[in-house]
Amino acid sequence: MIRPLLIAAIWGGGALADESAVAQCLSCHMEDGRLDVVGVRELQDLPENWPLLFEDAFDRDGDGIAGRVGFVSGGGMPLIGKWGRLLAAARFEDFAQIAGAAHDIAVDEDMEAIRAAFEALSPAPVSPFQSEEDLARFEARGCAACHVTETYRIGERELMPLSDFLLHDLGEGEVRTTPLWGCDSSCLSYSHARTEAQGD
Amino acid sequence: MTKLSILAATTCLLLSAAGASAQEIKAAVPSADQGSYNPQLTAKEAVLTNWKLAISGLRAGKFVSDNVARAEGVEYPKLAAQAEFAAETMLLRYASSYWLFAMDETLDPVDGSVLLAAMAASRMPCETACDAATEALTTAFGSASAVLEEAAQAAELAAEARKGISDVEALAELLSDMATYLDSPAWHSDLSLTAAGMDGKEVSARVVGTLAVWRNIEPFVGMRSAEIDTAVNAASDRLLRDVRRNTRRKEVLAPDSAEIETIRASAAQVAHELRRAAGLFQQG
Repeated sequence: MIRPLLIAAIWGGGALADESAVAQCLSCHMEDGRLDVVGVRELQDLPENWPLLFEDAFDRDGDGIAGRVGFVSGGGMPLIGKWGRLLAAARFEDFAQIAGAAHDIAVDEDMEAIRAAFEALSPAPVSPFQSEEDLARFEARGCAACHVTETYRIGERELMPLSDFLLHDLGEGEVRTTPLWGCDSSCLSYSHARTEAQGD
Repeated sequence: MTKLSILAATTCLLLSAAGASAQEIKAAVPSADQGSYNPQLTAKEAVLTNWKLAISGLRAGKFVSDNVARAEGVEYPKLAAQAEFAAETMLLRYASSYWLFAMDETLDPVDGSVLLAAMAASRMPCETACDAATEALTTAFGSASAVLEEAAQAAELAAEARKGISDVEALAELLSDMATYLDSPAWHSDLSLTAAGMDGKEVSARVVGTLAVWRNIEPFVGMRSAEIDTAVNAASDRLLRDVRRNTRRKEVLAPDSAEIETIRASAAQVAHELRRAAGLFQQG
């Protein structure tokens, strides 16, 4: 219900809406009529301790993969980052602050409107797996070492973000494992190794 | 040292030099309320990161334990796989956080028999009529969840108490206590899972947990003494190498074994360097 109302407000509201922080944010984040950030609601409910389920900062298990938790300032007590490619924020509002500063958009006063818009317009996560066999192949290829197939629940919904939300150094600095819950099955043909080889 | 951590430390120390007293390393991180959220950690937050890591690790153990304990209508093979992941995760996170119990006398380690019972239940084979095995799993992991939550709550209180001390005191205390821990038998004694043949994993996690602590506060040491920073890193690398070589696939590690002796020598060297690092932040 909220989605059509928001869309109407954003695109039908004239100059005021065009100049609002919400409109400015959405002017870049909308792609083919859809928000390009998947799982905004679901990410806010990701258990805080999720990355600790998988953390192995020193490759203690010897599988060749090291991943560390990204900590960020929490105004006195550090927080575990989960937003952004560099895990730069633990909370939506902090990430919005960072993005707002980067794009010179004043987000403070419109924060709740921005959150509401992103929550309303964000597509719900989908699974790239069409079958149990797809999932088994994904795991057999070793992808699940970082794009983990563990799940968490929000009420009756079981969610598989396909990310350990850890920082891994793939040779060009540390980046978060990209959650694949916004991918369709085409994601399953992606290969880090092949991509790196093509880049050489 | 990562670029981000160097930047964080540089920011903190430059700000400190600009006007703070010798007692405080002011990072002056603006809060989100001021309209410009800065994710970089202050020195105090970097210290508290280690407490957060340990507390969150205990809670991660609780999370996976709850998943097993509260599972309903899950077929036994799937539940057993869940339990295997839970047991391994719980052990690693608990052992990585073990330094907490050496650092603060108000904190007690959890009852090792509870962890052992969960590990044993996760290994119980069952082909048919698995009601009893399922009940054993849910009971054992329910108990594990309870003791881990209790430990996490106690550690939270201990961490809160440290928010009031100065940045330099916090850094000195942590570095000094890590040195004491590595010089003590704490990282290889009172192991919980010897009966499950997991001494190697437990010892490894107990030591590697302290290396994570070092990494989190390293930038602040590096900005005061590049020489000590390098020395701690070199000693840590050697310790990590020796831990890997001497703990992998080791079911039992006796306190007087050659493996423990090798690790002990490397750990003592790290402890020595950490004490020097602590000295950078101590008075007198």
